[in-house]
Amino acid sequence: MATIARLGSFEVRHQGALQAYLRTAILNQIRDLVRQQRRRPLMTALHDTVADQQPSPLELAIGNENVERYEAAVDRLPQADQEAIIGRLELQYSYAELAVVLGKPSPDAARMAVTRALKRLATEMRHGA
Amino acid sequence: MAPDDVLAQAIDGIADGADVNWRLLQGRARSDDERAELRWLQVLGRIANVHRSTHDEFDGDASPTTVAAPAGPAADTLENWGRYRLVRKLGAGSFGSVYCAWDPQLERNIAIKILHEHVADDRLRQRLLREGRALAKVQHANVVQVFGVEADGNRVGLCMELVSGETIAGVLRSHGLLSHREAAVVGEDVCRALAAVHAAGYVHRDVKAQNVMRDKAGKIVLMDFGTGHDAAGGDRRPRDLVGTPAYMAPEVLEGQPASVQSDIYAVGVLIYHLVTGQYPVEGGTLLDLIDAHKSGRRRALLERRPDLPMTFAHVVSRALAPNPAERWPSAGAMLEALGGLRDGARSADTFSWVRTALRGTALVAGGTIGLIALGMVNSRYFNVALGRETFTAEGPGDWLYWGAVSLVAPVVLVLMVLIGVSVLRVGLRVLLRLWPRGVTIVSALTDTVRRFGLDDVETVSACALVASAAVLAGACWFLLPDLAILLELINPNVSTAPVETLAYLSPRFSGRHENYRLSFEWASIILVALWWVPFRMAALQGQRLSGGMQTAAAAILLLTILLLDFPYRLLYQAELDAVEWRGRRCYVLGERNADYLVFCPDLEPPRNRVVKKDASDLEHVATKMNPFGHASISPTERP
Repeated sequence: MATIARLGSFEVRHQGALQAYLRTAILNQIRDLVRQQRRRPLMTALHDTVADQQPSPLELAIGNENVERYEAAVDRLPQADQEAIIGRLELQYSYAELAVVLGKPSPDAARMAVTRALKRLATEMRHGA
Repeated sequence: MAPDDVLAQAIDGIADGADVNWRLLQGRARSDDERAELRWLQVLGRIANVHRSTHDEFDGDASPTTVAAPAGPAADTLENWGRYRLVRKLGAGSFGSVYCAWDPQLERNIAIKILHEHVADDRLRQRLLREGRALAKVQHANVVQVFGVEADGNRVGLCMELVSGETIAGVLRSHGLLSHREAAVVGEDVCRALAAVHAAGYVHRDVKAQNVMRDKAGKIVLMDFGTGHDAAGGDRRPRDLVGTPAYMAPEVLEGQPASVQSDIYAVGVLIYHLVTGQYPVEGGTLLDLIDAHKSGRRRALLERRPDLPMTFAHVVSRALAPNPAERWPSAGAMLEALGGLRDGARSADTFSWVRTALRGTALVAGGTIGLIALGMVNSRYFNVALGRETFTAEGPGDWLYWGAVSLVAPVVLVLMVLIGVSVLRVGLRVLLRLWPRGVTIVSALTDTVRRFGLDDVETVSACALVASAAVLAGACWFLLPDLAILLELINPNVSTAPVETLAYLSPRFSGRHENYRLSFEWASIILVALWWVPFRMAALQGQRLSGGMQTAAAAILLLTILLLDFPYRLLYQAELDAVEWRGRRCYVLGERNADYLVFCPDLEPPRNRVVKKDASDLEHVATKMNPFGHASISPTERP
């Protein structure tokens, strides 16, 4: 949303410039998430309590130990794989959106990137045991 | 990928968000390696499902909701819990409910927090046990008392003191904002509770208005230790974001572990909220809030409530310092500071007349001494310039008079600046109302000020110091010829000074005198305006300028006043008794015993002579005249 809000000041200099601008902005968002807490709910409305006093949904679903292993495994992945995993699994981008973000030529190429990253991630998680 | 490649099927299912039959795939796995890999893929599938369900929540709901754990079954009702009879449900969450229960053995009501039946997670049981252990170690009147942790079947429950009353949040809703005294009392009790909690080695992590109860007797009780953790770090997960965002310290939002200082920050937010109804840092989402902290978008307490006492604002502001090292070092220290406010107010009520009398006496005494000192400097210059130190008999009374005279101009200047600033502020407010676009410009200017760090009191003070030194140096440089002459006049005095130097004192050069005064008057106005900014900022932020800055400001202002005033008497009030001595016009500078000291402009230096009062060649002229208006010391050439 912040990216879209800044579109008013964006000057289109060449074909594909808008796409490149959006891609860079979204990749920066993904990288910020990689650096921060990936288990934190996104765009959480600020009522008085986030997560209350209970475990997060993710912890509840898979247990805290698995969440930590997941995070550590993602940290060990190459940057491109991290972006594919977070973009598809956490941000729930469609393959078409992911293709723009990852700079892939087609949604199929983005899907292939996701499946490869998942395979590597599962191996990392297993070896992190 | 081969159709019977179970790993590929699992990966495709996860990537596409499709349902995966894990049991079937596990059955088809050809090796232990494949089965182990599938297990981890299953974990990834569940991660993807959680995020998908989160996004479905946002997509399907116009107003984003708090992401919470799945709600328990609607019909999770209990009537008994071991020996306790559950009277009524006080509240329910996703994992458990709190009941008012009757203990038939001790014949009293208690509160029991019971996990839902469907929640079989061992970690949650451990969490409840942890809460119980934490509370059991803290025995304090302001901390909810725990009686024990009990299991009934496969459920676990925490038995606690039943606090009958309402939360401070409820008090705020029903009664409106608290006065600063009431808020300070609440803050004191919460600090007492936290001091006990911290002393037991725990950190609360969720101090907020909803977790502070006021019972029917008015006692404040800190509740809900479910988010607390062992400060020694036993089960600490630094990246756990637990608590209430508006109350979270900036370092906790950044991922640092909670600490004593973050609990103190939360108390600061609590008190701030109680007197304003708002929060020091606000944001529509968690990311907004983090961004607001990073870019320093916070509202000082005195900005929202300028009517609050500065001492109170200072206590709260220190608790809210972005740097944990700058906050109160402990809950006890903050408690003492809040108690000091109350004691100050109480003693003020009881002995206010004594305090007023003492303050008044100190003010009068200090002011008198200051005026005398100022008058002494003024008179000293005048007497040295005329060479009449041993022929005058000025005392404290005279110095007081000359000091008061010297202060008239600076006081008028300060008042002019304050009035001017007030008029400007009113004018700006009116302008912004009539011109809405101006608000945008002002906001942009404010952001620019913050970006350059000019919202920091010390930075602005340093800028004011440099600017005022530049102004003073500039004024001195501009008036260097006049300053040189004025200094030459006291080296040693008018008796031996060249005629050209004496001419500066004549009325022919009154224009230069006025120019001198105007220049230092404007310099004074600019300096007062410059220093008004950091003092005002400090007042709004509940701070004070450092001692060094206050001293520097006072020194610069004092020097400017002295430069403005010290030649005043010589230039404007040198009217002396005129006499005729040996056919020459002379002027009486002073007297001592039977002698006069006279200044004779027509004589070759030394022009000062001692003459007997009863000398036959001395004749009094019945007028007071300016000795430097004499024709012989008003040459055509400028000095």
